[in-house]
Amino acid sequence: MTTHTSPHAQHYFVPQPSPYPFILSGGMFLLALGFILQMNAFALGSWIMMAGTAVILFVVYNWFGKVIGENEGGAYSQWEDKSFRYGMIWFIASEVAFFAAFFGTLFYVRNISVPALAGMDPAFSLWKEFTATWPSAGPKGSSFTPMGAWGIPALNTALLLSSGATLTWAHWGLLKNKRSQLNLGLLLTIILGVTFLGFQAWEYHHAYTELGLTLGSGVYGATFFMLTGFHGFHVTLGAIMLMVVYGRCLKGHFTAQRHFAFEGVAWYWHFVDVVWLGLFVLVYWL
Amino acid sequence: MSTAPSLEHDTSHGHHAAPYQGGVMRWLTTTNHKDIGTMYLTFALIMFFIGGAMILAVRAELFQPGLQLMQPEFFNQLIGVHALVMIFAALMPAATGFANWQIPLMIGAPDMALPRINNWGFWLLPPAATLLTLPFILALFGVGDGAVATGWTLYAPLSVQGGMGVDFAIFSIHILGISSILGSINIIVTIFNLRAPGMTMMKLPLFAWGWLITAFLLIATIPVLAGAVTMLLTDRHFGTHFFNAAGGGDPILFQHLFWFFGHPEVYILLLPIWGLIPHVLGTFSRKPIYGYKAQVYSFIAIGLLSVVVWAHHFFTAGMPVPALLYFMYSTMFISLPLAVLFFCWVATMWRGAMSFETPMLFAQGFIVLFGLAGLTGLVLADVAADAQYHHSYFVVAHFHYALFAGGIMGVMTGVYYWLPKWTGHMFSETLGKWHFWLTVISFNLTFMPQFFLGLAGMPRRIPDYALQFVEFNAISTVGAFILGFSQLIFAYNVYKCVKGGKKATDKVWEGADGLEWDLSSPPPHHSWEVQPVIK
Amino acid sequence: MDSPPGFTDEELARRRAMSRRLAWILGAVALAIYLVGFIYYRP
Ligand code: HEM
Ligand SMILES: [Cu+2]
Repeated sequence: MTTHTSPHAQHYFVPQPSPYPFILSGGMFLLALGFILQMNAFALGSWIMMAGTAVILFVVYNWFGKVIGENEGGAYSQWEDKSFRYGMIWFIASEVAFFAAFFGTLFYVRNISVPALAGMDPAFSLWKEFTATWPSAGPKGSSFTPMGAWGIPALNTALLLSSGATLTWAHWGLLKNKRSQLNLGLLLTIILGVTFLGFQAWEYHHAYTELGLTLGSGVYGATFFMLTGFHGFHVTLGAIMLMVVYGRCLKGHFTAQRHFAFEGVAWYWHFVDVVWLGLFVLVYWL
Repeated sequence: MSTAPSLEHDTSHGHHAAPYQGGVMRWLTTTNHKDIGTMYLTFALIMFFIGGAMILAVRAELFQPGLQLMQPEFFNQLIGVHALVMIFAALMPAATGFANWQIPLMIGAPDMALPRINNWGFWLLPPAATLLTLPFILALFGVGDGAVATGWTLYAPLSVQGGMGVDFAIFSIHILGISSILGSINIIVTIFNLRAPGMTMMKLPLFAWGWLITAFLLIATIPVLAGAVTMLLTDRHFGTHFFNAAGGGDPILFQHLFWFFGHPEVYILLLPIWGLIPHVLGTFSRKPIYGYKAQVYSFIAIGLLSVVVWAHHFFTAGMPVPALLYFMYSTMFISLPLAVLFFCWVATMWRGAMSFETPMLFAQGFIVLFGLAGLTGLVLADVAADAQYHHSYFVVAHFHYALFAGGIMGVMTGVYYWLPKWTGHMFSETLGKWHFWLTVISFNLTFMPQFFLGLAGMPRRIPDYALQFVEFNAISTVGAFILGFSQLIFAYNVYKCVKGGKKATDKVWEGADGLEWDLSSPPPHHSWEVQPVIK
Repeated sequence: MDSPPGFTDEELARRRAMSRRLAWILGAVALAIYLVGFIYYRP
């Protein structure tokens, strides 16, 4: 292979050695260990969990702070920026695969396992009167009222969709260097996102206290809470990231040309939005 | 090109050159792809011996029928943790170690694209391995009832009912999964964004191509495994019924989710190896790699097919006939691109001026033995035949031909091939040849009898067996102990090579071809800070 | 001094010829096993 060394090549930013990844791994170890012990009824568990969480929060705060500092200090060029973008895209791809597992499960129980249970020869079945209806608490579940689609969930759909719109509007502001439009758009997005979470919390409370719908309500309850729960968790993360970006905007960070953090969070938010549409149609509506 | 040994490399110039931290802090905090690669490989070697020790205990128990050394519960724990350790803590980290060392060198990149994430990916591994094995130790103190005892497949309902060890395994898998995702993202970004100018995708070294497809597969399937074990966790502790028919769920659902990950996983383990083998064959045949494009397209085809064949692992669980046929034919279809790879490997050697240094021996041993894995896989993919062979020792033999001869021997090929480049010293050829022949012979001694045991009906994962299986089991155990102890030669050879030995030249092997051979042996701590331009 | 002392031209040619001959022999053996499989059946 013929090679020549190019004289004018630029330098890629390789950061200094950093203690954060190692400490973060330690924090995650404590969190996992504590959780395991806690679930198995060891009193120590919750303390270890708390210690792990504290370590994780400490690292996340400092590590992100360090990266923001490097960025503002001009350490990153277009080249590094591209790495971050690719990285974010493939991270979101992995999140898509994670939700796909739960949507796949929903498909499986609705189309395969529940009908199969109902179709069993009564002579051999433990559950003779079971019929394949959806929502299903399963052959041996206690009854509950399923969650309707057109109350809070429809409202929440409207909230999230408009939050996607306000975020894009904020992005336009950033591109046109209209900072007030940027700040206002972001603030609206955060408010819409937090309102969404408030409604969802209320919906869960309603489900548990009034509808009798719990995690234990057969496969309907299980898929319902796992899908909406993981989604809600992602909305929470997205909202926190939006708040950080908002704070940075107020400090005057980002330019029309360079704003990876803003865009990365925006991609994430739109991803969470799309997942919600899937949830609304497949979990609440159909 | 600078020939300064890495430790004396001058780091005081340049705004970004990382200063060394002394002692252990260097390894905890490093952002250097070579340091991180070294840590991955060392970790893999240690875990290889830990996983190996576990299974030697199992083979010792199986030396004779009846229960001699351990209770069935402990036997089950050993086989499950052995498999998880070997797959997630030995083979995968070894491949990632190769990626860290070699991809930047081979594509002319200054480092991995996201160096701190790279370090994080490594340092998640020791906690995960600790979680996996800790229950063994806790049990000694009367806490819990030992490690996960379900086999590496964690099938429900056994895993739903299992003890605390299952929880440890679940969280270990979560952390290992995060590590894999981080590594994959890093590799994809590095390959897409940090290639030397002029290196188009169709000039990318095959090793990098193999890893690229691996990384995509990891991103597509590891999260599904994470989802599956999360559902397992909620079934165990939070009252859900995903895998419980009493709530409308189904234990078979777990098998679908697990193997949606599990089948691609076997290609995840092997694609990096298929990437590196052609380089070795070309070098020692003194010929260019045959069929570069055909191999790239085969990698892509195998990657795509691997996510649509998963149900061949549970034909016997009961499926509609059209589904059985579909999964049978699609599985068999994968052997076509695989055959293309075999053809290219052999054609690379065809009429070459071959010489038989240790890496070449391992590469050729790999071709023959891995070929047997593929052929026996075809037998298993036949629905009717699999009804007899499923869950027998035939399957165990099949996947050890794939994962030991294909995976571990592939890793050893790579280590022998690149070690002189990394350390700047040649290893002992004599010891290398001893290691090769002892490994190949004892490997076959261990696993060939298991095919016959399986055909005769011996089930896997059972600590006792009928008297008709005595001879083959005894042979297999003897082979396993020779195999296990032969690996000490490997460890010793690697250790000696790191410590010193005959100086390696920059090119190391006469027929070597590729960017990494333009650098000094060992390469400077920061290489390709100024990227080469590929014509 | 970058590449190790290599083979002479005669040595290279000899090795090429040998690998070619070996390949034909292996091919013949494989074919023979295949043919035997056709002729010979287990009772
Ligand atoms: C032509 C290629 C291959 C075919 C057709 C094939 C087919 C199969 C089939 C049908 C099974 C299920 C057998 C049973 O449980 O009854 C199986 C098991 C297995 N195969 Fe393969 N295989 C192939 C290559 C590979 C490769 C390349 C690897 C690994 C790198 C591999 C690793 C495994 C493993 C680990 C298992 C058993 C997993 C377990 O049950 O614990 N196979 N194979
Ligand atoms: Cu498979």
